[in-house]
Amino acid sequence: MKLETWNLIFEIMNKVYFIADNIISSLGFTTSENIDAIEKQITGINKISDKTLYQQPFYASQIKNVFLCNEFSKLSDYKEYTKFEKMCILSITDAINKIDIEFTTPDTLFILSTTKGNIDLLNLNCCPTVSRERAYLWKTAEIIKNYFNFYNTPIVVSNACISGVIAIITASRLIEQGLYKNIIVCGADILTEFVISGFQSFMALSPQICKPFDINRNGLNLGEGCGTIILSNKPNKENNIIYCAGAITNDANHISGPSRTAEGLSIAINKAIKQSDTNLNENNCFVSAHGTATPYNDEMEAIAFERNKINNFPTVGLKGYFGHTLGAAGVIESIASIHSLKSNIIHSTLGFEEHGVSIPVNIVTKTTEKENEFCIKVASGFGGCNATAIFQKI
Amino acid sequence: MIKLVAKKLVRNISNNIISKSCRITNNTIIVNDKLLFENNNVPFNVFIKNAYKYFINNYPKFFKMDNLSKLGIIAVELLSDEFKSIDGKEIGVVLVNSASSLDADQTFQKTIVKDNYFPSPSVFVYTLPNIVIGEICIKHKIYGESSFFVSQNFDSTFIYNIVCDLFSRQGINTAIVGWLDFIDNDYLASLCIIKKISQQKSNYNEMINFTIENFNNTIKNDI
Amino acid sequence: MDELINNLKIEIIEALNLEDVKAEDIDTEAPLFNEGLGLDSIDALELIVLIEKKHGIKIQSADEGKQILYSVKTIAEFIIKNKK
Repeated sequence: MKLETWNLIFEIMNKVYFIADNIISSLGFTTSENIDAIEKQITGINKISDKTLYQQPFYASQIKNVFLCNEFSKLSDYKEYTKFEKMCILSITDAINKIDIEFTTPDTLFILSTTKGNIDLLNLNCCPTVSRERAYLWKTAEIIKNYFNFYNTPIVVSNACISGVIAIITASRLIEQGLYKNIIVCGADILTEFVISGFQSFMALSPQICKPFDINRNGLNLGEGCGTIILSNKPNKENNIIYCAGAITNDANHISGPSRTAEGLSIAINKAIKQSDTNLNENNCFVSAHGTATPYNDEMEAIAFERNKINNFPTVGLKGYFGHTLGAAGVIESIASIHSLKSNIIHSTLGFEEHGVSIPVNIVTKTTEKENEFCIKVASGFGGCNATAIFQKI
Repeated sequence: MIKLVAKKLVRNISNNIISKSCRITNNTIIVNDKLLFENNNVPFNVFIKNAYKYFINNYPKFFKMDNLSKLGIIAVELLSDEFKSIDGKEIGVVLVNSASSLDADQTFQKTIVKDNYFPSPSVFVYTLPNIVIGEICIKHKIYGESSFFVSQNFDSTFIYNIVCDLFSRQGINTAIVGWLDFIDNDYLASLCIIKKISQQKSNYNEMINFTIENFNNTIKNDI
Repeated sequence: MDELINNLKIEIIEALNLEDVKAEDIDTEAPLFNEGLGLDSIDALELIVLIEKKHGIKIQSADEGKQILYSVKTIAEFIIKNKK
């Protein structure tokens, strides 16, 4: 096909607008509660002593069950749903209520992003009255779909820690192609004995609040949380942020260790920047890093940033606020980035004190007022997967 | 009006073909509708080990993998002649299943029971469905786009749309696509290779066009 | 010591799914990682679990683990030293 034809297609592809969102975390049950806390540099990570989760006290970001059930009781019987489902339903409800659109029509799709869903159901002592079938991710998605009466069978993305960014990229492409008008992306994961013990066995958990990109970083904190973002082919008046580009790659190197050369993430960032077809620089763009605060992840990211010459862009890591919320992380951090673009405030990398990766990276250390037009959101995960999405203010 | 035309263009430029398929279930391996390997009346671990010895036999990492990854590695091996000369950056992987990584999840859960709590890192790492994609990418040096979706049944229309977009806008010209599921010793791998037609040297006897209907018939996930 | 070393080799083969490797194939003093058996970071973590599970000794950090896990011999010495 001729280049002109290609350009024509790109020109008239549907634009994708981010029209509403919600974040539920230990910092609050709305986006604004969460963003306020971030701007004030308040962490949601606490020392938790709960032997049903882990023998010793540990640091994590946890949503109090009492609050969750209280909030949920306003909607429905809390005993009918698992913690995971309650978070998703509350989050989607809040996002949907912000806009006046009918979501039960065939032109709306619901995408769930999660790594483990209701994995706590494998423990037979957990929610004994709930059917074990709900450990199937499509089943929990169906329960949520039925609550809202959505028309289409939901899609579940389960792609380790990049699930949320893949869900947003996939949703955007489907709208660009004109296949749906509105897509609700909900990313969620909960804190469970299963996941804590697994990360502990990897010696990946920090014995303190995590320190992304810091010289003394020694591991991640887990967190539970849920983010919902609604994408649409039509703008609404308060929202001026669109999806600009996105790419997904694999390291082809190791199933758990980040690539020493950052090959996969470098390609992903490069592809997304090329696709955006814009001149991104340190004055118009910031980077929302994955920044788990494990020694290897942050080092790998720094190398990928340098290979793409974006290591001088203001760079933000949010794991010090939410911990690592796994399948929710990409969605929650994208929502924070979108609000950053809207309000011209760059968030700070809580926990970072002294530069600790081999490449100089321009880490943002305190909440800063700055006008930006673009944000590059990156994520990497087990299985050697990497994703990059670029958001734009119009 | 012009928007409508463009949409059609995007959909129709995906003039692609299904170049090869592989199906592993009930102790049999079928490639392009031909029975290639059979190992009756043995459990999965014996069957898949024998298949490994027969088709690969020089990749000891195989024995460290969980069931889902072993299944995927064998299936993709039998399709690999279709993409071995292609740049790894231009190969995509899109897999779907119903049980996610629940088989490995159940194995890991057994390592964290109350009186025998020794969480196993080498089991835990497989408690994500996309790890099999990682294993495939490592073995075949694939750097292109990959994603794992979970649904009760194979939604051929949805995956068709995803693959068409990979070909038309994401720089992918060959894709490993299909259903890969393992739970409670029930398993089905039904994968195929989709290729951009411009890549073809048309040395295929039977060219199967990549349409939703043909795609659905190829995958047929009646487990 | 010899019995411990032999048992360790059998435990390692089982825990790390080393197909077609026999206890006598493992050189007691040779490095376990990179060369030799070609073990990786996940194997190292699994060995740390093995030492705790079968021998009741906890290795606290991956850094500490590096020296202990150098060879079958260093593991055996570590176990003897720490066994109560």
